[in-house]
Amino acid sequence: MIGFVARRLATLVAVVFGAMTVTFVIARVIPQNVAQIWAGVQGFKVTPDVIALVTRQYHLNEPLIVQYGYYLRDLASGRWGTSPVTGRPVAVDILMYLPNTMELAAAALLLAVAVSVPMGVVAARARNSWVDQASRALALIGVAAPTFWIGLLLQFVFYYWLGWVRDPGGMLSDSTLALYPVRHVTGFVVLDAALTGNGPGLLDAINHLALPAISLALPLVALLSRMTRSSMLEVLNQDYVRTARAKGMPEWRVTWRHALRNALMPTVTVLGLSTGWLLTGSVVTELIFYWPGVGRYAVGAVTSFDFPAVTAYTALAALIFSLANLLTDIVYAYVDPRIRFA
Amino acid sequence: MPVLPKPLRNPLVLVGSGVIVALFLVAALAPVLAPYGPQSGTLLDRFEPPGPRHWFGTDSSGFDIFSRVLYGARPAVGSGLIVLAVSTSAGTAVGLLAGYGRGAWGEVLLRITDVFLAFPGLLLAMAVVAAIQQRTLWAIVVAISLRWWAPYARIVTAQTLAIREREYVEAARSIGARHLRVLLRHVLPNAFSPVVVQATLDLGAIILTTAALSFIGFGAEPGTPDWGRMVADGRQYMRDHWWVVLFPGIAIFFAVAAFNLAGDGARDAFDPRLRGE
Repeated sequence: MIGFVARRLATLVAVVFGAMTVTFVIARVIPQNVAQIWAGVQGFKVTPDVIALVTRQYHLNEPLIVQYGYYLRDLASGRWGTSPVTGRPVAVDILMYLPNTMELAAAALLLAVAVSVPMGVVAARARNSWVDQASRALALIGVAAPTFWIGLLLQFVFYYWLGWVRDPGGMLSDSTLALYPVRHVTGFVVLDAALTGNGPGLLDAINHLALPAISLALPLVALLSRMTRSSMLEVLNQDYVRTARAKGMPEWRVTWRHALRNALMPTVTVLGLSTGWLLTGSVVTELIFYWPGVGRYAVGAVTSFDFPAVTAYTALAALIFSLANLLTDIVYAYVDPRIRFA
Repeated sequence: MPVLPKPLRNPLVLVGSGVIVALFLVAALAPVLAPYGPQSGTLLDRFEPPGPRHWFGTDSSGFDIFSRVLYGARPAVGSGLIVLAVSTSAGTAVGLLAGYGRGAWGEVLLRITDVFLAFPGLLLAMAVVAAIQQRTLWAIVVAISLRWWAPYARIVTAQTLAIREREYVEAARSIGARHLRVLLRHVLPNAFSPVVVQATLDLGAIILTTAALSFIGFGAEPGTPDWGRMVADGRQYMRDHWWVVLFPGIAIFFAVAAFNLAGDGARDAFDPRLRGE
């Protein structure tokens, strides 16, 4: 097992290094007139002097290989370069927004698992029942309906029409910020409000989190519920399920204890895929719901040609995605020894 | 009653294939089918609700949304097919070389593929869009293709590795066929069917990704009849004029759903192991 993990870890390091090189090529080799754009972004009058200054500051007239060295040094130093737009180290900017994205992603993942696993089990137990049909329809919507559109429809129904949601976006209402400010403990707003016993703050935070979490969760519900259903169908035909029934075990116990535990194993493989989706989907979701997360930050960075920020975010996403895939493989190898020795 | 080919006997696959045919027809014949031009209308007609004159209503410029949804099939289908053409051919070429040529070169190609697979597709596309500093559909097509070839390379490599060991490849080599001929005439045709299946499923995903990039504002210019762009343009008027956002989104949904259903059918047809369920 240790050998397997070490091998995979070595591959991961190589792949992530490659991914960082690709982002360097994209951000430094393709763009034209970078110095001119950045000089403009910083609010100066774009004179040859300013362009020369920016060029020197970002080593833009050095040979590419030297620039690549600076780039790697910046990544290794943990500052990830300096943003020409905010003037701060990119890592500082990203760390400011990252907890908000993690909060949204965690809520979406929890919601998706809580909905899709029971739905998949019931759909497998009662094939072609209304639950099965409904889960099939929901799966199609989750796979095919664009997230930005679902998000807007949810806003229309629950904010404009029903009025259940207080704001079309953001993490807290202005009134909450003024009357019940959430004290910073962990950086996750819902968690902080709960930990500090801030009831009104907690309700407001959940009220704001609900719609973006649902939008982001829907494609995962589609994926997970179909996966649970098909692996449940397989497991329910196994001998040990028949044995459990034969010795008189109640049906609910057979389904939810014996069968489900075994059926959930393949669902683990979806972990990596889910992370990929949470990274991608959070961009659009955060944009729609004015959620101050890294996805929204990345779109802003693209718009303002903040290449160090775009590069850092893309590389970070590749790192997270690769780590999630590695974790999936390790869990799977742990569960299934045949993979370990392949 | 005529007998349908087996995969089409599943009603969902049949519906999906029907919608795809309709989608291609609409894309080709949009100027004939659309009652209005994509940008004809005046501000006097703006925000007319859906009715007999304008089936899907009109938008903030007074343009007929039904006509614009029909025209919107063109960039959706067009960019999807171009991305597919580029990425399946690039991916297949890389996969054939990586799988057939053993040793260091195959290994290098595989590692490069792994590097591109490490990026979530939309995010790499955003970085490329930033770098080429253009906000057009072509920029998006380039940006998406840069990531999209990698899964095909993976699939074809796996296929080629298995096919390389078959007797017919050995037979072809032993009667003196050159490597290139073996690759193109013997390996490629046998490695290609999973690519077709994946491509059918992917066309939906590509349409979704293009739409998302257009919606964010990195694709089609404002005002063009592109589904994602139409939702983005209509967003600020949604509160009082829901139809501006609703109909382009439905169009995306139907197109993507159709490719998913048909793709499932194609997979069942090509992969006999899955035929039971």
